[in-house]
Amino acid sequence: MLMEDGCICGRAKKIARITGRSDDMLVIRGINVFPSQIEHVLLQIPEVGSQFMVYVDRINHLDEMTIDVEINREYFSGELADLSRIQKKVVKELRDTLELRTTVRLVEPGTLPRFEGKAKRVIDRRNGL
Amino acid sequence: MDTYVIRQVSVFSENRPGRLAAIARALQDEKINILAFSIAEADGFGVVRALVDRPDRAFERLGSLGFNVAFTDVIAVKMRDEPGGLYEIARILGDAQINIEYSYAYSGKEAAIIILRVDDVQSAIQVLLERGAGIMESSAFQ
Repeated sequence: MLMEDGCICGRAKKIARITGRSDDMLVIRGINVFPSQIEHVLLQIPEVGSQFMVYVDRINHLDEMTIDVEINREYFSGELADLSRIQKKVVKELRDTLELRTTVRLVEPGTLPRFEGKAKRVIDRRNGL
Repeated sequence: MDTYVIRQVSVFSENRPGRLAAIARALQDEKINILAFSIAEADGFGVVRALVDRPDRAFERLGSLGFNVAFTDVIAVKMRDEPGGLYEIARILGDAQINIEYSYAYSGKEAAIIILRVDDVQSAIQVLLERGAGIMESSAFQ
């Protein structure tokens, strides 16, 4: 965020506060995570959609990442066991790519927000840095 | 054999308040009666399983509301509603090496009914018929 009116010291525009990164990169337990990596992983898994939401929390001083993904309509067999298998598969593929353990929540198809223009898929609930 | 196969409606649902109400509301709007029903839950989500009188209509309606719905083949068996009733049925399937994946039951006025999802539906029907179990025709439900 820039100070549009310029600084009182007489210099021109100055950064008032840093609100975030333009590329949305996250640092989770010291590992850099780009949302585009998550999207790339999800696109490789036909059982889930490519929409997702990421929630980051700090629990017991550790960063925890939770990812909501939609189940793909055609891959719902009606069996709970198959859903658990899909969930585990997503966790595994994410771990292989990000080298991070994540929590994956399967949600109903069409329930995640769709974005026009810049997507806001990351909700960082960690307090401070 | 197919006269004994009942189509259970299985609905994927997130584990959060109001989801069951939404499903039940949809069935009410279509005047669909639920004959038996159970919820299975896993990590953050669940599957609502129901035997209804008009499965095709239920499938259509829930699907049009955005629910993820599938049909699952199950069988229903009448049990004696007294101690040992369940054992009789479970033993027949166990002896035949047929695995029960899940099951739910209700005790009605006339008899107790167990609904079974097994790994081999056709063999289960065959062995239950051979052993004289009261396997119910799907027309009794649907």
